[in-house]
Amino acid sequence: MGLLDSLRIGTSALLTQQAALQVTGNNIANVSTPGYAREEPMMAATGTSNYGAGITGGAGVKLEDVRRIVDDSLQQRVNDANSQTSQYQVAQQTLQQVESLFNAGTDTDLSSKLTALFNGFSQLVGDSANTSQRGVVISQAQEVVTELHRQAAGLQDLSSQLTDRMNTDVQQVNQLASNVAALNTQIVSTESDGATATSLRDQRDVAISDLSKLVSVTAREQSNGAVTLYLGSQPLVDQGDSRKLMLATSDENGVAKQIVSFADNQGPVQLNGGEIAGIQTTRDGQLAQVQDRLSTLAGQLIWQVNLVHSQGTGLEGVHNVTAANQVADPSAALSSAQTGLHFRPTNGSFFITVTTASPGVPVTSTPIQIDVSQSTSLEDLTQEINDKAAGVGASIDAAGRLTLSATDPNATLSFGPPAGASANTPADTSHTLAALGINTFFTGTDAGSIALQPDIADLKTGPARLAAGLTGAPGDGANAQNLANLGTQTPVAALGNVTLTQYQQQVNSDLAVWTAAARDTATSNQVVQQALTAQRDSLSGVSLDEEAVNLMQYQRAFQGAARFITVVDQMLQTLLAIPT
Amino acid sequence: MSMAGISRISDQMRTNTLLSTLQSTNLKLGLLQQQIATGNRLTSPDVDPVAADQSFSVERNIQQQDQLLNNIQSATNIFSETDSQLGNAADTIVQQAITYAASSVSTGATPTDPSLVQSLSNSLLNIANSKVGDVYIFGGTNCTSAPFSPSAAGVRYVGQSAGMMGMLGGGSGATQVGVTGDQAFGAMSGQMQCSQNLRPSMTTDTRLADLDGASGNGIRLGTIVISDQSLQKQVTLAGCDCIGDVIDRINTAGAGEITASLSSDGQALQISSASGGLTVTEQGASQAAHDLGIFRSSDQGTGFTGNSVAPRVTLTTSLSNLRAGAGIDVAHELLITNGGGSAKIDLSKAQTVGDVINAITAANVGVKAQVNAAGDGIDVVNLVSGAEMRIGENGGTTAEDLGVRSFNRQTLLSDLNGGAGVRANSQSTDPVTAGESDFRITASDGSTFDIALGSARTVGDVIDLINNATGGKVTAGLATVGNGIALTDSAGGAGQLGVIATNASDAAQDLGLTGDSVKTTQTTLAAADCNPICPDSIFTHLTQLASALKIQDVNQRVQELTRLGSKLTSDLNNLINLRAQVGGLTKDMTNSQSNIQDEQTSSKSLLSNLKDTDFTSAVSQLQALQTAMQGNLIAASRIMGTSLLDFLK
Repeated sequence: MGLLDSLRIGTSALLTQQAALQVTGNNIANVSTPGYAREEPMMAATGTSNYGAGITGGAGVKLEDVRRIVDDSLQQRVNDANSQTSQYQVAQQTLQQVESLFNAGTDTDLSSKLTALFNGFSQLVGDSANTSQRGVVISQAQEVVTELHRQAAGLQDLSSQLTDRMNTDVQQVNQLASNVAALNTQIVSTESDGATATSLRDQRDVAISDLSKLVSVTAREQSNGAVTLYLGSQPLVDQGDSRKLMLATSDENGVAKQIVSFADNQGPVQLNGGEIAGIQTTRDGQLAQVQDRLSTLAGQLIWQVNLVHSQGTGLEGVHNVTAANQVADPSAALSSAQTGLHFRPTNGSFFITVTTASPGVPVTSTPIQIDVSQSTSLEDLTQEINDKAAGVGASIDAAGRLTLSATDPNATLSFGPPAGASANTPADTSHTLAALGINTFFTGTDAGSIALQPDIADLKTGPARLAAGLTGAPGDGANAQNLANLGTQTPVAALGNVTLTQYQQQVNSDLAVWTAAARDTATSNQVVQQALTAQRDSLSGVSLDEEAVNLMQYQRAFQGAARFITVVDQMLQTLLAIPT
Repeated sequence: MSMAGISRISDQMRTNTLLSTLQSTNLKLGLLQQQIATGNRLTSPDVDPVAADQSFSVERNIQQQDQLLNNIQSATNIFSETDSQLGNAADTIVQQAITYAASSVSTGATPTDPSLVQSLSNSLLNIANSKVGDVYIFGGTNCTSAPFSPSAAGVRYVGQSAGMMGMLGGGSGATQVGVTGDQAFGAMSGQMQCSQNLRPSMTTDTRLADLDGASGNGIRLGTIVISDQSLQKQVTLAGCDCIGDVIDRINTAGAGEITASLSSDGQALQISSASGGLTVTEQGASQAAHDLGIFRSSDQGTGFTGNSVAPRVTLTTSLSNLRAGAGIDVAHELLITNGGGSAKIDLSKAQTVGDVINAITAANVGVKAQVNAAGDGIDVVNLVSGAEMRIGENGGTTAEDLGVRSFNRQTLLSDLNGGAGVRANSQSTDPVTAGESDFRITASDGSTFDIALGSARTVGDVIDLINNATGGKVTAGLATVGNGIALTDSAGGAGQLGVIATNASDAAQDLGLTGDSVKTTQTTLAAADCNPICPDSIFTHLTQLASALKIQDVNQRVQELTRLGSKLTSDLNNLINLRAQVGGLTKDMTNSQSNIQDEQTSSKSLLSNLKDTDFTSAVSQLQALQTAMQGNLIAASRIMGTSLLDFLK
């Protein structure tokens, strides 16, 4: 041991403290960098100094390692919390958008408009002769139609927007996954000679954290420093390879949907959390349910109103009428699916009444009973009408629609019950008129296609065609009574034995419950996320005060080491100055 | 965010904490602001789903109740006008008419000038055609045109028998609003009510809805059990529309062993079994077998004919099926006269009941035919007050077959002559003693027959009395053309067949056998049709009053005026009763209205509790949050402003 060895001790100190200062400087520089894990210089005593007679000591200091202060399992928990929060937040946002689309609880919501329509029918019972009141009812019906269209279109738009967002997210996932794969390769090669690639690891952690907001991933570090990312049980990133995700069209129950799958084998992707999972679950779950229920409501509104309306009489009959609905195969039984009719006739009978009103002669009406069985086709029906009813000409037009016209130019047709018929039995037990769309009020099959029958919507003919009565007398509002009861008193079997207005209210109530649940779950997940992030920041975040203290410490140590070297140098000089 | 488990604060953490607390406070402040600005606590339904659901229900109820109040208001307008017009009719018209009649009856009084009665009629016409807005209140559902239309023949009712309705009750039913011209003034009370049971035989197309059923409850579909010695099957009848469907279902289940068909008279089902031991019972709570008339729990052997299911007459019923398949005579015409007009109704092209009704309507003589409420016949209504309707034959049996002949064997003597009946001398027919007979028939060979009506009640009784008395020399029957008693002499003598009154009896005159309208030949005598059918309406009574006041013969005049006096009194009572009913209904509606309004008040208060922002609590929450936010910002700025770096040289 000699003074030269002492110099080496000083040198090691200088170099080490300098390195420590640099690490501290790096920490201070990165105080605001998101996802940065602070580094800590690990110093260790090194070397052996021999003082003779078996007495030994240390020989300086070395920088053993620069350690990243990070807890991988805490990081994984933060990522999981990110996934959950994003998932429920997107659900909450979507459901809140649906709520604001529906605007329930205001004066202009669908429920008010439906009630206003049925109220209008109720008023018509006592005011049936009033054509302007009839016009009011028709415009109330138009408002219901417009609102249903708006809601259906809005929901469809929302669904498409969600799919678009899912697409964007999938692209982003692919980008992030390939970033992670690239970083894996770099980290592996950097760490192959024993070093720690701290900033690369930081970057990889940030990428994985961003990825976890989109999809829920599990990270497993391999022995060579690369991280394998799992989506459920399937690997997404393995060493330097990443798999791509894509949106594929899947056909479920005849409805085409875009769902996430692996690009390489079209295999399904297990989505346990993340924004994409939230989008897919909400879009295909609750949003689809709302769309479905809205369509069911509209469909039953159309069918039930048409059933009642088609069996009534307006203020005047029609000279000729063409059915609103096309029959795909006029030779197929009307009760079968080949006709393409959304609602189908059943075994029963209905009436066509021919009313003749020549000038100066009192009005006479002749009802004719037309029978429909399970096997009657449109062609059979046409034949039967032509055979039984001398005053009616029936034919099928090129589009497959039944056309009826009165043979006498002075005559008109109507479809209500024959005079004196029992009040309890419907005029059309076969539902044929409603199924084909003759003397009906609405056309269409669901919320997107609902519309008013053209001659009802027409301002000139509409009021007179509104079938508020059963006998044709101007003050007869008996059918309006049936229509009014439809909204509020008559349970509909296809809706689960509740009335139309109750069903509609249920949709809004359920939506409110779902939204509140999503909001509460998102909030509670957010609280957990914030707590875990705080823990992570507490562990790995940079504290400027702490770094300032470290700065002072290492600076003084540097000063001390420099002083030591000066002293050793002086000692050497003293030695060298001894005269020989 | 709790500080549990935190042992070290980093700068990033401090920043994040500040940001997240600021954010959450801002969100709460934002929601409060919205609640305060709109006054609505439920800014979106998810704020409180339970309250939102309740508020939806309450709002819908309020909206429906508003409509109900609206309906009640419109109905009240009509009821109150009805009440006041009924009052006018009672007090100014009918009461006055009764006074005129009474004053002209007292001995020595000069009869009132008939033109005064005419002006009463005109005023009544105005009352009967009153309106509220554009709605005629006494026309039933024909409310857009004046229901009473004057013509030379009389006042014709062009309104409906069905009244206007309104949904006033909050349930699913409707209440009649106002009264019809028939209810108030008796406009449709002159009816020839069907004298025949026209119930048709069924065809396989006959709708179950058009059957009254063996128990009178219609046909309630259910499941029946048919069984005999070889098989037992349940037959589900739900979904059957016509009787043919029922027959098909039974035959399909019976598979040739048990068969169903229509009975020969078409009034019932016939069930037969190939192997015997036949029974038909119900499944569970079904009533179908009972209603179809085929419930037989005891062994019926190889078959039975069920009970009649009482098929109803409908407009589409084929004429040949009427009267259980006996059909009607369409080869001859109906003769209808009414108020000076007459028509021959040709039924040769008629196929259905509806065709017959249309033919009668098209004749345009002020009569209306309709299927009766019981569904077993056709009624013909005289719509013209003051006109006399008579429906007779034209050589065939058409009117009788249809049950619409206005003068037939079943016609009550007491109904003849507009209800005046037949004034007969004696009560006993046996023996005919001098001083008791009513009239004498002289045959062509000079033989005479004295007839005392005695206890004869119907036209048929009188015809039989005459036939029994004359022993074939003079045959009595109903006219072959038109109406009335027709006498045919077959005595072979050279004299004139004739009828004269005896013992100062008016019976012959009342039966139309004597008087100006009688048509005689040497061997035939066609009596007048003394059974005109007129509406028993106030208009008729006033017209008859005007005529009665012109009668010269004092006794006759007094008799007629007395009769009319009591008719007008019952008209008055009817109007008073109607007023009372209308008054009662109006009161019900007023009560209903105030009940609904009370209910609305409490609904609105409930709604307010559910939906309205509680301003006191919202504003104090706002204060508290604001204070918390300020505190947060102050604390954060103090903390973040302190750093060791400031103190290092």
